[in-house]
Amino acid sequence: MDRDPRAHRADTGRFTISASGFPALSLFAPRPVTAAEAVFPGRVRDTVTVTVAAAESLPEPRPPTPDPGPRLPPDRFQSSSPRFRSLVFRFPFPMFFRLVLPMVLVSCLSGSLALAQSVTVTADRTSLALGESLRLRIVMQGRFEDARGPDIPDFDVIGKSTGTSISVIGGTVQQEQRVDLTLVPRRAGRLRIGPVELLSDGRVVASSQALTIQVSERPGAPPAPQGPPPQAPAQPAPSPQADEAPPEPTAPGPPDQYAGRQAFLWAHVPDRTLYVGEPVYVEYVLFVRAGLPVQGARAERLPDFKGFVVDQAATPEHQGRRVRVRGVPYDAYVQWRGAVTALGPGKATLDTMSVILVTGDLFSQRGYRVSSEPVVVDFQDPPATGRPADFLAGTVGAFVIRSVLDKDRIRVGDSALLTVTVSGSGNLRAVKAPDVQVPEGLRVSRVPSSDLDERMVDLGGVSGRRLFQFLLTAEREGEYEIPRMDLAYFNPVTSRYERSHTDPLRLVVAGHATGGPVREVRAPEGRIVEIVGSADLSERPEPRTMTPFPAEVVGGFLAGPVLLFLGVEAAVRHRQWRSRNHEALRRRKALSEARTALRRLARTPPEDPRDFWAGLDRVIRDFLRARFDVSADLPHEEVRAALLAREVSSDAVEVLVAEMDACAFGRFAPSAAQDQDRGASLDRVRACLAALDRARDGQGSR
Amino acid sequence: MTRTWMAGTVGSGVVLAVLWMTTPPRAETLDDRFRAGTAAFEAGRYDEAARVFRDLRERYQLTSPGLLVNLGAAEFMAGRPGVALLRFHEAVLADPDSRAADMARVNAERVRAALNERRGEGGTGYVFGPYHDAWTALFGWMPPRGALLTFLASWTLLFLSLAGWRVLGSRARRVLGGVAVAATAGSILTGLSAYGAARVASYEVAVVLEDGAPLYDREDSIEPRLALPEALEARVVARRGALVRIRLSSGQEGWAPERSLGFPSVTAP
Repeated sequence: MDRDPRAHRADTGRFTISASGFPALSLFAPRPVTAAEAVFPGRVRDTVTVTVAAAESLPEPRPPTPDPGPRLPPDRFQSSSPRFRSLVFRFPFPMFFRLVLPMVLVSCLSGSLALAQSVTVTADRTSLALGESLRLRIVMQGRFEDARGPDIPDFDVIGKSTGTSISVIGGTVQQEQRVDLTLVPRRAGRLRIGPVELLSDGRVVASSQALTIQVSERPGAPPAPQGPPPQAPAQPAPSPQADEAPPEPTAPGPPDQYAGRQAFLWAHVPDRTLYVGEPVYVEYVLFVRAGLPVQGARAERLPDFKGFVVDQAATPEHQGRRVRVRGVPYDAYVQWRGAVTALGPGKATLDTMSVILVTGDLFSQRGYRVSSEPVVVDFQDPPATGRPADFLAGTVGAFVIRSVLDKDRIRVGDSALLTVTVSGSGNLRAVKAPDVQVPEGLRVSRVPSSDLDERMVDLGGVSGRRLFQFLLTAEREGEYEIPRMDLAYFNPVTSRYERSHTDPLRLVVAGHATGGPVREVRAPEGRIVEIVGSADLSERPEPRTMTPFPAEVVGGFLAGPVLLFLGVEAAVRHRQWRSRNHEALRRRKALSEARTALRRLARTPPEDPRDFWAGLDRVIRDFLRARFDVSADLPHEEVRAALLAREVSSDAVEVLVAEMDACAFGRFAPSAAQDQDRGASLDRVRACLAALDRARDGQGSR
Repeated sequence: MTRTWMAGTVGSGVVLAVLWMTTPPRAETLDDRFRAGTAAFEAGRYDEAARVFRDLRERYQLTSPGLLVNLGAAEFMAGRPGVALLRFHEAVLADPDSRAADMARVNAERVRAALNERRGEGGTGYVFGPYHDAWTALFGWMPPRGALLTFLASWTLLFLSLAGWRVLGSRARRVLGGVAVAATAGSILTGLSAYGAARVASYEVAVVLEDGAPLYDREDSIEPRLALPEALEARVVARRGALVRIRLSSGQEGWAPERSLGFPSVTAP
């Protein structure tokens, strides 16, 4: 690191710092600078002393590049303060950020410059009655220098609010300004609200559609509820903004003598006669020539406002707007805004305000003090001529007073809430609670309601509403009229005393609960549930089970079809099996059938012995046919041969053949001795058949 | 004569007074009380109406659906929406097909709508409505009895057709085979439906009666996870001691004190 960097005087307002081994840094110094501190990338900070004999000047609008820009003539800038401090410039960013960040920022903001202007005007209703109000919303988008309209000669502006929002969508900065006007029609009929036009470079760049509002007479109202009393004009005059009605959040532009300055701070006060007690909207607006690399501004000294009551409004953070002063484009930034109310007549001074304007880029920033000029304002007392007797000092503005009862029928002992609203623009603080004159039979008491008041600072000074509530308690039955209430005020715009009043209200008070014209005090629409007129109180429902049927029933219904199907299936399968195994079954059943037949023979022996022996022989042959498939017509020898061929025990075969011989003998030559041997024959045959049956499938009984 | 007249007059007066004092007061029937409650409701004296109806329910053990509807309406108008919803649930449970049950359903919907509108004005952040989940969305509209009957019919048809398919000849088997396939699909669908409808019907509902009732993650939690608003409806999942595990329509589950919940029941208190 070269500990002896050299500093070079470059020219008026610009100098260069260089150190060996590093690129030179080019700085603006539009005023005498005693020392500057430079941090070279990656190295210890070095301080160099630079003496620049230059007058105070702001840099000419330029892109944030290190190249020298066009010089400013010294006389183009007016120093706002002779006590300008030495500034220390630091460069805390390494080279990477110095090179990359600007590229990123430029690429991000490249799409933010193409802004389209548009303006829309919408009303919350298209028809209303006299005495009612509508809300008009004006939304302006894009950059424009001025706005014109709307033309609303048939309406009174009783409230106004403004707002600004900035959004970045897809890299495009979208600025939107909203103005909400609360309008009260002056007459019935089809009233027109003219279009709003946005101006840029003296030409209309966007325009809204005109609106038509249908205003009807209020049903049942007196012919002229807001009509003028004999002594004074009755209709509230337009608020201070209504005539000017620029749908801008800020006041009109500065006078032409400021044109050509690089930056100036201008205190704006309405250019008309101002009165004591009138909240006057004041703005301190910083105008910076378009294109100047402004990084920000901070208030250094705020005005004192001695002799005023101040209602400061919040200063929006992104409120810049483009204006032209004698054709020179400026960006205007509101530094302070609010309403000031003079406490006494005479000339009063709005102090100067100073801000430090910071210009440059991310890497080199400088601050400049910019101060406003003091403004002397002459405040007058409202004139004594034409002052109503009920005028209260300080009631300066344009107001509308209304009253409403929360219910129009009550019972004796009950209460109704009377709400009196004073809305409009002006010194709402000075508006006092009206004196409610109620007829005998009603008792009035004030209800605290200050928490319902609304006040806001806008171009008209202060606008909003005061709300007074009274509890009217009925002491006697009857029909009462709450008389109208008047509010006299001084309108600073028309410089006249004016008056607004409420409509008379009716309140019906019924007797006690035993009778009277009032059936219900509670509004029936508040009841959203119904009841049954009669009910069978003896009905005692049993607790219901959640299952629709008993589980046993459901189980039975589930199992029944399954069992049925299984039974059918089993039967089918059994039948099929039987058909497939018919022969085997027949053989298997041969012995049991033979035994059954033998038991039958033993139990019921035939009368004729020959029949017995014939039956026994038939049993044997049936068994042989079923069991061994041996024909019943074969002679005994062939039976023996057939059985032996099936590997049946020869002993059993011999016994069987002997028995068959005995049967043949008994059939053809019955004898008494043989006849007595029936039982033994049956036993032998039974045993013989059993022995033969054991020889199934070739396994003879041995 | 004057003395006699005076004595007679005084005696008559005494007799009349004794008679008046000893005459039993006219008996007030339960219907009279019910009508008195209805009249109080119509006159906007909702607290009084609720007290009368509540007295009929609790002291006289009445559980008529009409009484429950009126009690619920009076409780709601008196500012107790949780109890009101509970009574409407009970009226529906008592006799689902009655006119009073229909009115209870309508009233319950109105109460929920009112609570939800209140929510829009900066209320609880919960959506008030009957408990619902995927099962109620799919099967809540089905009557459980009808769904079960349909399933049993389809089930029986399935096995009858199978049995016939096994027994009858080839020509009939073709028809019965198609019937069996259709009955199989029908049994699956109707069986699932019957299960879902029965499951939904068996849900035990709970209504939050205490505004800000705590909902704990676990039984042994100390810090509640949620504060439940009054009149929120939930499903009872389990019980453990004095804690009830409930499931909200949002799917969140937790344990809430039993005392802060109401469970619809048609049995008299």
